[in-house]
Amino acid sequence: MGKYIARRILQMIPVVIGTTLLIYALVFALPGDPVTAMFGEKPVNDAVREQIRQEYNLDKPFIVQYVLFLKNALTLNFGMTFSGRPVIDVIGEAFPVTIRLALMAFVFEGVFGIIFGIIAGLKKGTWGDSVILIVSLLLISVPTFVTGFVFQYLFGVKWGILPVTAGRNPGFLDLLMPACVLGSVSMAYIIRLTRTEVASNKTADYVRTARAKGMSNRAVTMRHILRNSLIPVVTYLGADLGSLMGGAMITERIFNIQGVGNTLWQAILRGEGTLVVSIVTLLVLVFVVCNLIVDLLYAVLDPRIRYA
Amino acid sequence: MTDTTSSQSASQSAKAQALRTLPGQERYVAPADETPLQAVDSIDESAPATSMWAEAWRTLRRNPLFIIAAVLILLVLLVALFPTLFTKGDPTYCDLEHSLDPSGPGHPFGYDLQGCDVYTRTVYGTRASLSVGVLTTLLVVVAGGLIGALAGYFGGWVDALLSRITDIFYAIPLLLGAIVVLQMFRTSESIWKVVLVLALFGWVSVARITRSSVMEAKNLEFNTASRALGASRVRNLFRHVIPNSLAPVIVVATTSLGTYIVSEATLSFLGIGLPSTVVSWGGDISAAQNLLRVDPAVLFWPSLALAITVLSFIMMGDAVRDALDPKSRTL
Amino acid sequence: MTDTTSHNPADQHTREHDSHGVQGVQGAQEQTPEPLLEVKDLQVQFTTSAGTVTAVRDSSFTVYPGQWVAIVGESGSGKSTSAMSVIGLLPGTGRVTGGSIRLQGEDITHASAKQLEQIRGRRIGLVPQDPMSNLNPVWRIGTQVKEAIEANGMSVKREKRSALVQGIAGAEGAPAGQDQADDELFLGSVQRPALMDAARAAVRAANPDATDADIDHVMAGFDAEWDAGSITRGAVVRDLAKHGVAQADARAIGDKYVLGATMNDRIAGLLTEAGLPDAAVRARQYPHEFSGGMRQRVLIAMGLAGRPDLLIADEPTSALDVTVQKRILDHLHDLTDSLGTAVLFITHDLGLAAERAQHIVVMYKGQVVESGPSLDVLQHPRHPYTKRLVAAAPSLASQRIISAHSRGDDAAADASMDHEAKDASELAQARPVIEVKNLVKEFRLPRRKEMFRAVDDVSFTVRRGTTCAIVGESGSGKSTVANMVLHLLEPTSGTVLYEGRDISGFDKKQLLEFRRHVQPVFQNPYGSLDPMYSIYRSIEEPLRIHHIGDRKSRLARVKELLDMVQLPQATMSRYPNELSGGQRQRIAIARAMALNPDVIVCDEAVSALDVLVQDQVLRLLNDLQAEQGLSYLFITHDLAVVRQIADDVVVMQHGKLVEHATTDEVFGNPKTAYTRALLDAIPGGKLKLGLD
Repeated sequence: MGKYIARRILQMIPVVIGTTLLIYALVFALPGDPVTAMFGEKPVNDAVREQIRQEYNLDKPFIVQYVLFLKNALTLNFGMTFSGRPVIDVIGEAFPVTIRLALMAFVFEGVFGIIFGIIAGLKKGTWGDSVILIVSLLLISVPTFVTGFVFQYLFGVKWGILPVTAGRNPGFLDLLMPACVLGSVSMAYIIRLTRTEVASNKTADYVRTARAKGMSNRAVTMRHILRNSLIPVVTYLGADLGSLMGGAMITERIFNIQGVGNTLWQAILRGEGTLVVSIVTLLVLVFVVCNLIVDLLYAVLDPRIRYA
Repeated sequence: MTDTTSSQSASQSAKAQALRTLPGQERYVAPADETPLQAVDSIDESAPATSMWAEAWRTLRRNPLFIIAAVLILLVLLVALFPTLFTKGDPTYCDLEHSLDPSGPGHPFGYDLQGCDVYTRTVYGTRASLSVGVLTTLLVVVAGGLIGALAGYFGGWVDALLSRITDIFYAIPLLLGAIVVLQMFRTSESIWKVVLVLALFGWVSVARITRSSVMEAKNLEFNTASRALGASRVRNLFRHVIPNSLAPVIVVATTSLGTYIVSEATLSFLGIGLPSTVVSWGGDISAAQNLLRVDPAVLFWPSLALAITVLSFIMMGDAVRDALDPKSRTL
Repeated sequence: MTDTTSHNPADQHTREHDSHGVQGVQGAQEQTPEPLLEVKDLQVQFTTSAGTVTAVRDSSFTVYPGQWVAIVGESGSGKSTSAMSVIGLLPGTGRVTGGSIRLQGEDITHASAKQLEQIRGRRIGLVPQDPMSNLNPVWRIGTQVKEAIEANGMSVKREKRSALVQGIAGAEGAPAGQDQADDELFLGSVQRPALMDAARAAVRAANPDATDADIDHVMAGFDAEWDAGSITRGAVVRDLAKHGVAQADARAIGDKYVLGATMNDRIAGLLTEAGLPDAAVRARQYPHEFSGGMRQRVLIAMGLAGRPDLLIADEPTSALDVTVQKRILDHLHDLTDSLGTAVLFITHDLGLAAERAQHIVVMYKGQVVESGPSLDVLQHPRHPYTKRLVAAAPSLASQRIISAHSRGDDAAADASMDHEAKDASELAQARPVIEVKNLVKEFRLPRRKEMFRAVDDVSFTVRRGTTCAIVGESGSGKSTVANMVLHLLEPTSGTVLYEGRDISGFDKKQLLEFRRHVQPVFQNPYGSLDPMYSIYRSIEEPLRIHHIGDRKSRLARVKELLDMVQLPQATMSRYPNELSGGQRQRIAIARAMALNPDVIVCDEAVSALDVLVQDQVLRLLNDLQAEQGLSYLFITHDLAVVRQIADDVVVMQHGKLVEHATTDEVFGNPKTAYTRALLDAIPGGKLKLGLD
């Protein structure tokens, strides 16, 4: 087991290097003047241009630029925003909000996705299954921002049950609706995944053997069908935590939550390349770490992986 | 257990019983004409011949999911190719006089803030969304399929190299990657930038599926058989392995077509997707977002069009998967 | 229970004869016993999209306590379906639509889910077919056995005897005044060391004249027999008394040290009984760390954990090597005998059925076509289907040949054996077409330093116009040899000569030429044809690759080849998924024949087929050899088949060549213990058929 963990961590290193290199290359090494690209349509003052060139070591060879960027990133030194605040401060302010939002969405999609998925899988072919399946299909087909608008309109504007937007320092209730919206698409995927897994495990040979042992239906369902079905679901959930953080941008934007996504969006609007790259790099790292945790979790849940 | 005396007794008693015929165990022979003996392993020559694809097609035709999805996709295609069949209006003709007017004769969906006809814009928006979806899918299947097939078929260092590259791209979520690149090309007026960027971060899933599918197909015995017949490796790849690993790729491609359309809309919503000069659903939804309380209809119609299009492709993907792989049936 | 009981079938026969003299047993047998399981006019149907399919109809059979009853039939005959309907575990949409199932007189045909839960495990156990898929990969072995114990509310402290065993014990007169329940207490692993010490002291004291070696011998016997969680107080007391310890002392030791087992002891005890070595350690492992044979033992332990009165054994060993199969069945036989468990044994092998069961039920197309006492059915089959089965069963056929040979009756041998073995002089004249010299193949194992030698210094020859069989169990390297002969694998060292030329030296053109002459037929009839290709394209593919003929001539050739393998020409337009395993294998043979080869390498080509279909394919191969003068290299794990087809036999074990001789010699005068073990393991091989 220890060996497996070590191997997975070692395998993660080239991925992290490759990924950051890719992002860096995409932003700074594409044809055209990166400074101009960073500023978009805005006119650039020569002094600022020079300052940025130095800040990003753009006068040095590409690979040196990258190594310096990586070094800065590892020491959390991401430079300054246009308004003169350290990038790390801005991120530090925004991250806790997004983490809270992502965790709430995570719990929402996990709990409801698994419950509905199990029901649909166990009752495959019944009308209940069909309803769950159709709702999940709809959730996948409608973009998050549309779901968001609809929820906002219904729960916030029309019925006034939940706050329409969340301001600074949002509480549980402020984040409830955004979390449901953020988790809705993943919930639909979890429902589909759980359903398929449960339905296929239901007919597995070892489930029949368990029944033949005289185990009660309840015990067979819990210990054999669900235990085995949930392995891929749990790993999907783990990996999704990483993408929820990145995907929070749309939700935060709609509900005006001052999280990472909103900060990222505003940075895009202002054409602040520095901030964009820093935030994206961090989010990708979170994603990679989540995937690593998933791999380890997989090994814990499935003994076959441990020794492979 | 291990109770030697009773052990022997039990076995002896059973064997002693065998010496007599017990009730219900008398010699029985069924009348021969009751189950007429058939020729060993005979072929039913009356049934029509069916290939795997014909079989899949037969299953598909009977699946209501497929029928609905196919009709919707055909409709969407028709709208995208010949928008003039559905509207005589000009999507870019807007008159502030009509700003937010409700629906009226000839303008079933009403007008938006700029006074453009929502129905006409929704009809014309189809082409942009569908083009992005189709073009991205084509690119992704060609690039991802090729990389996956090479990695899966040749294995060894080819696989190691390609798989590491795949891992790197896999670590960047589609939307984040697209944002990083697109924020630098906001001034570009082409829809190709969206297609290329979605393909750049989207090929990974197809590559992974193709790789595992090819690895499975290449280990089937008919490949060994074909090599022993004298077929070359390349012939084998194209004649046997690729045709046999297509099914999961087709399923994934169909479903992802829908998700690329959603991604394009999301990017347009963020203002970094399709240029504002292109009439698109995502752009219109984005423009209408502030009208939610005033006039939800302006937001509703392009959203509905988008949802139906995506839904039809995802349903199609499900139906095709059911037909090609009966084990993972959804309905 | 450990391997103290001999597995030699001959011993079982003696035991059987002895039983006639046992008065007590005879007394108990006078009245007719109650049937354990009575299935009458059973009908099982499945609902499919195409309508209702009747899988079993009008089938009846009866099982008595302690009996082995076999249901024999080919795949799709309804044998498993019949058995599964008894414990309410029919797959998918299957349900019992007619007839009755009675268990100990109680009608359970339409038992509720709750009732079935009560029946499963404690009254009817199941040992399923495929050891690979029947254990949950995510739970430890011990946990899965524990589930079986707990689900049935089994005590881990004491044994539960079947009514049959209790009845017999009662008839024999159990010692009065003893609390019988306490005699059934298990030994716990905690007390075991102390018990062993006490036993040594007691045996020592009881046998003052015995040498230390004698005592050690007795203790070694105890050590092997007295497994914690399996041996009972009563048995310990009896064992001690048997070695001279006074009854009272023996009882005192038993009462003091045998106090009941813990759950872990019991799990280990059950696994040990099923023949799993190192059970206590093994119980903590996961299924993927087990071989197929070991998993099958775990399944047996689970099936018997609830001490059921009836055990359904659904082809419990068909996925295993013959020698492992024999060991496990012997073990199961001893175990069920001692527990008084009746067994409903599902198998496709008539020989195996007759060897193991007292009563045979033959099923065909969902119906019982014949049933009766095993030997009677085997010797005097009456239904045409049974006759056909008896004629085709390779195990029986080879026995018939042996007995005919021993009588010197060549005519009889020829009649029963399809293969015309060449006589010695003819063989000696035949030129070698394939020569294998000192072949070695090493593989690198993942994350290991040392190389794994899959084939180790193997040499043999295949003579023109004859059949050479390579026999061995899984992992013996026989398929690796086949792949090297086919030039699909490069040997690590050694050479393969085709007509005297080293095939590794062939250039591209020579290799293509070689491929024309040496063709394969592979094992898996479902994998060896491309499902995307029509039968025509499949057979035509070699012609196309070698650029032979034009469209028209190829079509004619394909038709000719289909005739050759006795399939209608209309098969051409069909696809593999429409054909049965045997038909696909005949297509594979047609494809191999397309280029008029000299040599065909058959890698387990008939192993996956039903007996009758297998027989048919073997006949086809024999006919083709006679007509076209083909040479075969025939890879198989089944010695019985070898008898039907081969002139020469190569026996392989762990990559090494163990024996290489003519078929007659290998069967008549096996030189090595391994070959003898293989011969012994042929199911039904020891049956008294009354042929000689």
